[in-house]
Amino acid sequence: MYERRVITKSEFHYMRVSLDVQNPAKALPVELTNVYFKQAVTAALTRLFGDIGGAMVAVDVLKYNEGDRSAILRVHSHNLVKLWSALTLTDRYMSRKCAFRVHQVSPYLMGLAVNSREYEHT
Amino acid sequence: MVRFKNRYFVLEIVHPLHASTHRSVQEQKLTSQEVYHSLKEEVHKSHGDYGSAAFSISCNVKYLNPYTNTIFVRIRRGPHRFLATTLPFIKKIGKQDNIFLNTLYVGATVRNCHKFLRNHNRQQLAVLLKKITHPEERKKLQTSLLRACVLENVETWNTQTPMQ
Amino acid sequence: MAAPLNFNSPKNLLVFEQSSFSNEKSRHKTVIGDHYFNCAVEVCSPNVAQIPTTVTASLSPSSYYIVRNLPLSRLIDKEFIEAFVRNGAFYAVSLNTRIDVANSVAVLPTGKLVLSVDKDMYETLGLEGRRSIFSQTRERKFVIEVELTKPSFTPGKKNYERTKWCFSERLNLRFDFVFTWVPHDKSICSSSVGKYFSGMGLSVSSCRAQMMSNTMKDVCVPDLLALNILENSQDLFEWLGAVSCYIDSEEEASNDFVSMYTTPSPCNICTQLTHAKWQGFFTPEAIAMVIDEIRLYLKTPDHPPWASVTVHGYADSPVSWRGKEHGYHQGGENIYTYIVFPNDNYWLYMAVGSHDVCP
Repeated sequence: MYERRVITKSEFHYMRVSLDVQNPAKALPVELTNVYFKQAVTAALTRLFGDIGGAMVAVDVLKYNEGDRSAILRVHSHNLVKLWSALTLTDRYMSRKCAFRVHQVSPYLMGLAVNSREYEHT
Repeated sequence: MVRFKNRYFVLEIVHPLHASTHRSVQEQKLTSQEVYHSLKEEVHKSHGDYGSAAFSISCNVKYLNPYTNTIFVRIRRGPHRFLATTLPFIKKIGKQDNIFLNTLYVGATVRNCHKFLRNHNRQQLAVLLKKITHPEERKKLQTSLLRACVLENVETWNTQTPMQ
Repeated sequence: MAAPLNFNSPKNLLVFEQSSFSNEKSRHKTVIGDHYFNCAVEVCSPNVAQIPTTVTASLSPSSYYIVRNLPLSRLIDKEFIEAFVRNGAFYAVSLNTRIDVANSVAVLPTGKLVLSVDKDMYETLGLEGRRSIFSQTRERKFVIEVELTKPSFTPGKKNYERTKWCFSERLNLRFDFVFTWVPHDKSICSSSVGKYFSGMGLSVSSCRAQMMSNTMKDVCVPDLLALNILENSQDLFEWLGAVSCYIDSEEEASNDFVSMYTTPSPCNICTQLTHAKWQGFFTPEAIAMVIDEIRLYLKTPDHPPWASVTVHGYADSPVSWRGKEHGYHQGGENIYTYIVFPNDNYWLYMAVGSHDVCP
């Protein structure tokens, strides 16, 4: 009846990121929907790692919030460093200055549900 | 001790339109600078900033033969994969358009590449010799070969290659 | 090797256990009881309209306290140790301190005061400790443990006087703490600890757990009985995480370009899936009560096929389970999830990050 398994390599890593755009009050040329967000992420990867390198990294936008432009991304663990570095080094989206802010990174999607660092006790 | 390892690519530029003559028909001779820049541009397209930075640090065009269109490219062992995956996509080098790069050999030392190229060229010469029909040209080629390969036995050479 | 094509990913550990509460060798009491600092509890169940009130009653009234600028020397006062540390379980962890860059303090209910300090603080403080197991080669972090309940730890003894001197004279260490106290004697009110600190002129505020709940309709839920759990344990844990993050896989998966995530199969459509989350500071006793209530609920008629309870630990706490060292590398996860079945069987997941010991 008793079974125990220890899994040492999580298949995926998950990131909670948001896209900060310069002058957020000024409207973007195209409204940033989940499709455009995914395109921004893929463009960041292609800029740093090229057509072949960028295509090798498969990213899923699991959840996207249009209001604060935040998303939960899923990537295979061996591509985490590539995705994170590509997001860090992106400075432009559609000719507007921008930056990707990475709030949380976890090998488990459950780990993104709660952020004890940002919780305000009342 | 961690070794500094390299990979040497032996490449041949092939012009599909002129493939039948096996001759390089170009007005200007190719320079190693042109080759380097074309390769770097293509690696940048395929592997982005990361690939082209890794490539430019460690890549060198070591040998270039504009007559046989052979190139030796040296690159460090990690970034060699960037170059290897990009080579099939190269269509243009310098001013020569519409070419493709044939990877003849990948070696870890320049000596092995040289050995390979020597054997490869010998085989190519044999192929070329068959194609030359004019007896005068044939004789000319044979004498120049004999002068080059001084240690070769003339009898064995004559029996090995058919005259007609 | 120069410019690698592939990079290593950070280490992590996911432990999956399958057992039964009625199995006498089951270690659920230690798993729950030794995980001291819990910042969130989530309960999820399919085919129920709302979380049973007995469960809500165990968690919602959970009140705890926050004290600002508490000098560390107050925690080693003889009066404090006698009144609270010996007569109950005192849980405290420092607030707004990031363990990877700054110093973090915790008081375990076993009567141990644990400090996770950096090199400068360790050398200035002067107390004996050991190197953190996650920085053996680089000497960046040190762990100092003070046994508060040791009989030799009394005023007058060398050890006690030195510790007191280090905490007050050498470096006047002050931290914000979130704490709670569960007395052994049930007749004593647990708020007396809050009154004790506010009596010293410190700013103490009482807080309550915050609850968020939602019910999703017509959701695709994996069929736990048909699932080959030993092979797909990661997929199920990922799905539970998707529910906790409110990811609607139907809506998001409508576009293949954006996301390729799907619910693990075999799955079937449930009319409703209820999920509730409480955030605050929870004691292991409260969580043990929740699990017991869930087990009782699953034995009633009209019970759901299963229910899950997920407990999140503090990312910046210096310990995870029973004094095992915990660190924050890229995420300070120390999460455990119980999936409880009506026949008293359970599936347990324990998830930790890279700077953690296998639980």
